[in-house]
Amino acid sequence: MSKLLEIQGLRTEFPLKGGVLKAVRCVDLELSAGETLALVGESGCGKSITAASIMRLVPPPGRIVAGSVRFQGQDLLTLNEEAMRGIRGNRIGMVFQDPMTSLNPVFNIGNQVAEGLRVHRGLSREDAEREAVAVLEEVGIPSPRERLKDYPHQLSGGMRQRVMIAMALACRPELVIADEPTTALDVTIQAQILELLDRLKSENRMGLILITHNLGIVAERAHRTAIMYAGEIVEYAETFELFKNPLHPYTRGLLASLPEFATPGGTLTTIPGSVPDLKKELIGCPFLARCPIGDDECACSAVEMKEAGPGHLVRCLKSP
Amino acid sequence: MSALLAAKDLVKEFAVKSGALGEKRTLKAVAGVDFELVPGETLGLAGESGCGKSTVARLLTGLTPPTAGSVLYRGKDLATLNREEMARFRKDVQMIFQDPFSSLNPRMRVADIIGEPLVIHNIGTASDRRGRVMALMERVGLSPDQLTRFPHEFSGGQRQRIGIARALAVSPKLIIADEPVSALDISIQAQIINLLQGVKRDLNLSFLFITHDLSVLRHLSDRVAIMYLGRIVETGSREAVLDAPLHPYTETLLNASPSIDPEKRKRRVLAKGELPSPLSPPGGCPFHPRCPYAEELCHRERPDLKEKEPGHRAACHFSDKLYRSR
Repeated sequence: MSKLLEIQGLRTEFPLKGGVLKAVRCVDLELSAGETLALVGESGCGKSITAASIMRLVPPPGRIVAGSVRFQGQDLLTLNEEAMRGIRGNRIGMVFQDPMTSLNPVFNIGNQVAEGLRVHRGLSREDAEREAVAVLEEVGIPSPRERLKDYPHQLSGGMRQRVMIAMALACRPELVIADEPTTALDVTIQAQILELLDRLKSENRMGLILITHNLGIVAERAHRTAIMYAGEIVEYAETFELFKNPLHPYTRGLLASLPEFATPGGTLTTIPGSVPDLKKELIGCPFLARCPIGDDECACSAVEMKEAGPGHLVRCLKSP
Repeated sequence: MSALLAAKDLVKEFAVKSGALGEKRTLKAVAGVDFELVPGETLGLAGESGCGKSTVARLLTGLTPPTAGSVLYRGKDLATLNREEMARFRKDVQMIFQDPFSSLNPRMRVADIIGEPLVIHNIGTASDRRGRVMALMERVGLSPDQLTRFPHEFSGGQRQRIGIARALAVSPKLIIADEPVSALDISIQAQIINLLQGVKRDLNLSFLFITHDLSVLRHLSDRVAIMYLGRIVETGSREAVLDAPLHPYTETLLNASPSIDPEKRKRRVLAKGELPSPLSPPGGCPFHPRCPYAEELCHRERPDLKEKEPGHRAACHFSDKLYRSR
C-alpha cells in the first residue's frame, strides 16, 4: 500500500543570537491512511516543530534546511506557497493544543468553520453554513445551528476543542495533525475528545498524527509510536511492541518514571539530568550524559537508526 | 490523633456578574466541605477544573475568608486567631504552586526568593539566613553556586525546586501543594515527586496535595478526597477510593484516565456531557446529569456524604446497589 505521508531526513533549524538551534535534527516517519501515529517526547524535543514543518508553518526565523515531506507522493517542501495554501486546512487539517488562542475571538464559530469550506471548496455562504452545521453536529456540538453565532469565549474548553476539530475536518482532509489536542482539558472531556478523533478517523479513513507527552494516551490510541529526543526519533515501533519491549534507554527511562508502575509511596525511577542544549554542536548520542548504559563509543559519532526487530527501529549502539 | 488542620462545613461564595445586563449571581465555589488532616499524613484532593479544589487551598491557607463554616488549625478557628497565633499559622502552613514561572518573582535572585520567608518571620541573622538558604538549595538538589541567579535562568523543574526550598525555609508543619507537578515533563515530574516524598519523610511533614492526575494522586496520598462541583463526593484511604470506588464520579474519572496498562483499559462507563456551570448547579445529586446510573431519586434529592465502609465515605444514593455486588 502506498504511504499517505513519508518524511525523510527532515531538519529544521532556528538561527538565533547564541547559535543555530537545531530543533529537528533528523526525522524519518511514514504514515498510511487510517493509521494513527503518535509522536512522543518532552518539551523542546522537536515534536511540535516537526508538525509545523509538515505544514510548512515553522515560525521565523526557523527554516527547513533538509529533507523531504512526501504527501501522497508529492514533496510538500518543493511546492510554492500558493499550492501549499491549497493543501493546508484542506487536505491536511491541524488541531492545536489551546483552542482559546487558536480560535479567532472576534469571529463567531460559524464563520470560522465555514471559512475553509468557502476558500477551498468555493462553496457559497449558504452552502458553507449548511456544511458547517453538519460538521459541528458530527463533532458532537449540541444544537449546532444555534451555536453558529456563538463566539469562542461563550463555549467551554471541551466545546472549543470540538470546534477546532470541526474546523480541521470541515474539508474532509486525508491527514490530520493533532498537537496535544487534549492537554488543556479535564480527563473526562479528554476521553470524549479522543474517542471522537478515533471515530472520525475510522469513518473518514484519515491518517492521524497525534503529538502528545502523555504515554497513557499513546498506549490507548496509536498504532505506531515514535519517541523523540533532542530533535531526533530515537525509537519507532508498533505501539504494543514499543510498550512491551522498549529498547532505547530513554524510552525505558520514561516508562519507568511513570507513577503508574511504581509502588504507591515508593521512590520513582528517574532519568538524571535534563535535555541537552540544542544550540551546541552535538557529537555522538545526545542522550549519553543521562544514559545508564552508554560509554565512550557513544560519544564518537552520530548514532544511526537500526532495525532491532521487524518494524522496530532504535537509535542506540548499546541497546539489546 | 488530633487533627492538625480541619475544615468544618466550609462554604465559599463569589458574587459574579453574568449575562449582557451584568446580572449579579452567586457562584458557590465550595459548597460545604469537611475533612481533617492529621500530622504526618498526606491527603490528596482531586477533581476536574472548576470543582473548587484550588479555592479550598486558598481557604485553608487563610488567603481568603470562608463565607460560612470554619478552618480549624490545631483545633482553633482561623478567624479567631490573634496576631501572634496568625503569624505562627502562616509560618507553619506553606504553599507550593503549580506554575513555576508565575510563582517566582522574576526580579529577585534565587537566594532572596528562598530567604524571603526567613526575613518576613524574622528568623536568624543575615549570615544564619545565608547558611540556611545554602542548605535548602542543596536539600532540593540545586547547586549553591546558583545563589545569585534569576528565575529565568532555570528550567521548569529547577524552578519548582526553588518553590519547594522557599516553602521549606521556615520549617513548616504542613505544606499545601496545588498541582505541583502538572506543568512538568514526565522525567522531571518523577524527580520532583521523589523530592516531595523525601522532604515529607525527613521532616515529618503533613501534605495536602491537589491534583487532577490520578496516577500522581495514588502515588503520593495516604488518603484521598474526590471533589465535584464544590463538594467532596467520596473520601477514604487511597486503596479504598481508587481500587474500589463507591461513587460513579470516581469510577468515571478512573475509567477516563489513560493508562499504559492494557489490563486497566477495560472501558466500562464514561461520564456523559460536561461539567455543569457552578453558577447553576443541577438540583438533586449534582452529578446526576452526567451519571451513567442516575435514577429518579437522584434528580430529586442530594445524597449526603455517608460512611459506607469504615473510613470510606461516599455521597451516592446507590453505592450499595452499584458497588456492593463486586
